[in-house]
Amino acid sequence: MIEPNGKPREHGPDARAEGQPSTGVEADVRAATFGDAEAFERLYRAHVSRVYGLACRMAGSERADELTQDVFVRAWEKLGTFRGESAFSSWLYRLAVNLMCSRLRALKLQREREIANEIPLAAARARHDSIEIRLDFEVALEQLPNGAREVFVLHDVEGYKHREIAEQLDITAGTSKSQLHRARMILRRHLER
Amino acid sequence: MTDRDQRKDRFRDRLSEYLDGSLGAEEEVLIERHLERCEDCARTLAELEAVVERAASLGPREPAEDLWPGVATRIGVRSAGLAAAAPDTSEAPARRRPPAGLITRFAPQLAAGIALVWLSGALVWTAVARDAAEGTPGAAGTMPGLGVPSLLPPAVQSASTLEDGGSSAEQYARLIAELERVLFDAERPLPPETVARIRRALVTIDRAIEDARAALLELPDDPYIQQHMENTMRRKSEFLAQAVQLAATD
Repeated sequence: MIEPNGKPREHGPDARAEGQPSTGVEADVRAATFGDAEAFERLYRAHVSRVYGLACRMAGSERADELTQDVFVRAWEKLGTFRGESAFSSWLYRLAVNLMCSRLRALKLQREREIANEIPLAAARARHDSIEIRLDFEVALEQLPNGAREVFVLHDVEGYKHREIAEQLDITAGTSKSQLHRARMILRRHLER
Repeated sequence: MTDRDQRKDRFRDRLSEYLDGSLGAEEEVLIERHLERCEDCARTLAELEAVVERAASLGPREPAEDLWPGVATRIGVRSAGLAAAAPDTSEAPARRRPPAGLITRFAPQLAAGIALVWLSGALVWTAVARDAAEGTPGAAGTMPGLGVPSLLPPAVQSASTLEDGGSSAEQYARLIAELERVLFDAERPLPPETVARIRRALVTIDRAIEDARAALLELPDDPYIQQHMENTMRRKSEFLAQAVQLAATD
């Protein structure tokens, strides 16, 4: 399980938690812990877009709805374990990352996506190179080969370290580094010009 | 592939690490020297930098449809219809409603306790009512004080009167002790199968009380848990009082 070290990240979970108002969130967390569904719905609405974004990038849009709901169901079940030592948002995103990674591992999607996505990505790249179509960066990201995509999202979007990613994805730190480079090398061709 | 190409590939493969500052000093110097001479690699580095910047700027994404109803269904609550409201987490503390699901680290036990206490009571009394050929405890009124049925022995009635000293939970504890004494030490014991059912139900109720007690040890000043403890003990006392009444009228 990823347990980020709590140091401020340039653009990671902890950094993003800093700007949020605390009092209302704390009250809602406490109320939700005791079964207040309205409070939990407020927490859901405040955080759903980031969880959904993470789900899209980690698992693809087609699985994002289900994964997002799974995250909030799990959060509801686990609220009692939230001790307030970190921001609620950090706790929630860690839970989201853990759940998504374990789900992806369980579904053994990696090989599927390796096969399924290399072809459309290559086609898109060719189109882009030839007629300079602006390929949406998010679409390109979603179409990265599984493995490279997860590492890229966790490292460059979410701010995790290779050591943490390796632990979460059950790979070596070296593999994490090479997958990150692979993802960046593919994506550089899809930046808007 | 020429030696030059191979060397270029080798440098290019390390550009991400160079960008992240994760190379050793010696390798870093080698890369920098190479970048001064190799336009391709310098361009690639600039592109990788742009990718990293772009990734860092990726923001949240809104789902195409509201996913809350699905979440609400799965956690067993009704949607409060907050969809139209802008998420404002800086408002005053949320109003607490009676817990639909108690999700503290004790909550699963507490929630299960509530459900089982009621279920146990209902099932036992359904069965006991079948056992009892005549007389039902439901005809009794409710005594003032701790709210247990009337038609109880004087010692129980005395114990059920609210006193100034001690918390409600402590007073319920005294009442429960008296009810159990009357019920299980009665001169005319209940039929063994009835006693067995009552004892089985009490195991469940006692477990719920233990869970509440554990929660109180952790959060002694929490009003919700205090209330939960009191409610659970009240339910136990009501349950026992009905059993005592049944024994008295059997």
